[in-house]
Amino acid sequence: MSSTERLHPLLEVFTVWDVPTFHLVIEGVLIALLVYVFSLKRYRPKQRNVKLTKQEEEELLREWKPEPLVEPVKEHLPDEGPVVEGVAGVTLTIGGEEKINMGTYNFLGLVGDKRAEKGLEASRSKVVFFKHNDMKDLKAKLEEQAVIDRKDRNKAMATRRFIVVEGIYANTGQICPLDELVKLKYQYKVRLVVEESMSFGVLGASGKGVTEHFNVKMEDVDMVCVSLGMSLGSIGGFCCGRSFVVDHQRLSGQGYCFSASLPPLLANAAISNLNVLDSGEGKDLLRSLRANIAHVQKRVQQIEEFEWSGAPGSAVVHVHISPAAAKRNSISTHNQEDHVLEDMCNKALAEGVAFVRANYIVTEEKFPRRPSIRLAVSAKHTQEHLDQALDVLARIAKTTLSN
Amino acid sequence: MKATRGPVVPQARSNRSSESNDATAPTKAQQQMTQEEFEPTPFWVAFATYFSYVMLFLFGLLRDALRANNIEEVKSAKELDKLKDFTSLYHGFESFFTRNMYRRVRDCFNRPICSVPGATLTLVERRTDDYGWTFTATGEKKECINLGSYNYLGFAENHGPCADATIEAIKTFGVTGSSSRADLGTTTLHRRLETSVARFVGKEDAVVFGMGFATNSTNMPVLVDKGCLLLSDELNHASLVLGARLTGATIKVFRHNDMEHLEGLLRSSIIEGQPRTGRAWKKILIVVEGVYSMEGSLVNLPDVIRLKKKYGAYVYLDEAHSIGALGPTGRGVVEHFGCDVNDVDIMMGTFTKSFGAAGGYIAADKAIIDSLRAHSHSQRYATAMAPPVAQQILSALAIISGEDGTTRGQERIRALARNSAYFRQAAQKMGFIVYGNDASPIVPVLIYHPAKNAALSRMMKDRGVAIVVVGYPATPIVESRARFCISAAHTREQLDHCLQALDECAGLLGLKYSLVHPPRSFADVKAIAHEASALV
Repeated sequence: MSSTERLHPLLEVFTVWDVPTFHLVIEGVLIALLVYVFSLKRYRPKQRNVKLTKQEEEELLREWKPEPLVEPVKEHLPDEGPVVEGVAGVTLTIGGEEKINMGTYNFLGLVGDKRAEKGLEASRSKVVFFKHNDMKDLKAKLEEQAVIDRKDRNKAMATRRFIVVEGIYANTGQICPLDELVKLKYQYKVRLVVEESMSFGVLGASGKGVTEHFNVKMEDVDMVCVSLGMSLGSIGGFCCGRSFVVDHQRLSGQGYCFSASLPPLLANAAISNLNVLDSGEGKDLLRSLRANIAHVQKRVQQIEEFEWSGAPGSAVVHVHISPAAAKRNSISTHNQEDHVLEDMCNKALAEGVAFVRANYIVTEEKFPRRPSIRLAVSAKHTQEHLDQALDVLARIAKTTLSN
Repeated sequence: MKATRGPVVPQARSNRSSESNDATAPTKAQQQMTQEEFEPTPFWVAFATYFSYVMLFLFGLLRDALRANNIEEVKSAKELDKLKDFTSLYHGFESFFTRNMYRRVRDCFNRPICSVPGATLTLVERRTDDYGWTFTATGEKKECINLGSYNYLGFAENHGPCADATIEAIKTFGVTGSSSRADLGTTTLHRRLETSVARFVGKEDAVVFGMGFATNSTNMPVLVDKGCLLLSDELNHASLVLGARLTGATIKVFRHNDMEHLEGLLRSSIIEGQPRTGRAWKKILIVVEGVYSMEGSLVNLPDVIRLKKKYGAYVYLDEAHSIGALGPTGRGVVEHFGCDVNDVDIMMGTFTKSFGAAGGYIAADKAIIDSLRAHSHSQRYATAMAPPVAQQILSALAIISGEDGTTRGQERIRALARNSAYFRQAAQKMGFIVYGNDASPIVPVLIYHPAKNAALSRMMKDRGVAIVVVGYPATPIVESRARFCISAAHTREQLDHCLQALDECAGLLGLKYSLVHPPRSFADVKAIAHEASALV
């Protein structure tokens, strides 16, 4: 056979170099080891050993009945607000009548966070929730993690971590203590992501948001996400951070790579409004917004049936039924409370003011939210608008919660 | 590796049912419609492509070593010094790819334009002085024929009835309602749009959202949850993949358009029940797209419907690239195959492509839409669709459906079908490997080689044609391709110009890989076509 002749020169190599025998032994062992590794059975989770007959299979297939694709909607509260006919400015038209608008986000009057939570889910990271705006709790949670990290250094080295907060929380109107957060960031080496939809154009001397409010350097926050739908009077959103972060988004951000770009008209609307914010007119708008916020918060405080949440300077103000009033009117569940608030909104609408009950998908909320009416203050509201709106609110509160 | 040696026959990925006597079996005409060409990668092309990636990789390693030893300057954005001891933000390969491969061809991507993306567009010329790290605008502009935008029916216009109506809508409604649909974001326009869309698609009701991507990713969780099974095509869009992950359901992936694989998964899943517990599935949802935007292929809808009926599953059909673009009256892939719209449970689509707008819709039975309105995150927490955008869709929809009383919509639909077939067949006959279905307005031409991919993009731009090239990671590593998007707005002269340019570039780059269609010049292809039509 020619194969032996071909093998021969290969074997010759050993004689030429005069390889010591132990070399051959070691290589032999290595080869044996390789053979052993490859012959190992792959680990497979235990599978059912039952082999079904064709008939049994068919039976199973026949028997399986799917559930209906959706359950009928049981909720009685409306999924949509009233239909708006025309521009949603400080006033808007519903059913042919003009109403004062206390519902839409139009902080600077330039119009004609939940989002974060879904993002967290999509990131498939381990998510730890800390008590709302409670820095002590956050610190305790970070400390807990630090203890775990000290045990498993390798894992800790490979785990990226982020604190995700809102500048002003849409659902409570609270301002996050950014200065403390930055301290925690450097202490525990956790990056900081701030959602500023409700604080951009509202907080800070020139409306730059919560960083300016606390005099925190922009570079100490790793990413700021802002919706264009609030102060900037457009639709869409932007993320900003150092180019180290943003460059990466252009290649890997799903919204950037796989979604259609923002319609130019919306981009242009945002640019124009950003220019207004940056000008002298912007300063005037901010001044007027702050005055309006202070006025609304003062008036809301005076309505005894209500409790309000929100921080000084927040254009989002939530009013809740006070525990005393709830007790008097035997309102005990969130559902009842929602219905009462919805009813109040409808009555207010009939009297010419559009209020919005804070709308949550109850089944999806990880933490139950306290029902509320959410007031959104605008720089373009006049004193008369606000007084009229709050008069209506106070009157309806009094009649609805009369017990 | 898909490559095979020896005589190559185009691989027809048509999947006939195993039981052809089935009452719901697809008709012969439907089977012909699902014939799609996917010529396998020639062996030497695959080899050369792998080789070039290996070279890029080795050079990358070398450059990284030089950078690490401060011999080469690091030009990429750097992490701040005070964040040095934080866990690094990015992991190895991704940034290696960006630094050493993507950066070399960066000029072909993220190209800014400064005009309406119609049949032609105007590119902003850029210059880079540091080999692709940074770009500056030169101040010059270049008008090109646009083969990159999904402007199927040519509604990306800045004049005409749609644009006029949209401007009027801004005057009446402003740019935004600055509120979610559930609060005060619903305008009369939204209501009218939903009725129109439901009527056009042929479903009871519809709901519209401001963002097409979110339409998928935020609504799938409303439909299925834990204990359900999602059967998803392997080439489904990122938004469907994200939506599927957010549902919490078990996800099984079937090979692209492979009906036997789908049936096998359906059978075994129902028989075995849920993993570990063996409980019966609550429901099974098959998720497919009408036209796959990277392959130019169509879903095998008749067979999907047959399987759905046979096993009691539900079908979620994403018509992002097929609504308006397919079917004699533009009603999408359901109409194209002559299927019954009632057999598709969820009809999803976007307004970005055929309607020249933005956003997405879901059309289905009223009960389903009610449930979406009540539970969808996009309905409650996202800003409602911009009123002018809604108006643009309404105007385009009126034209497409002929409700404006003219035949202009019909003409656009016919022009698109004509243009797509012309471009695809010409490219095929010239000897390119072209993927997909004859009816698809997306024509992917395989380039394979990463360097040729970028070179083609640049050379076509020099010849006045703006194209989109895609490569890894959007495609398998050896299957980089140029993806031509045909529009009803293209004239025959414009398409000829593009094909001529493509022919020239192919001559220089060697792109006519097909072993089935011998390489021919565009002039020859045209002459043959001319003769053939003269004979008829």
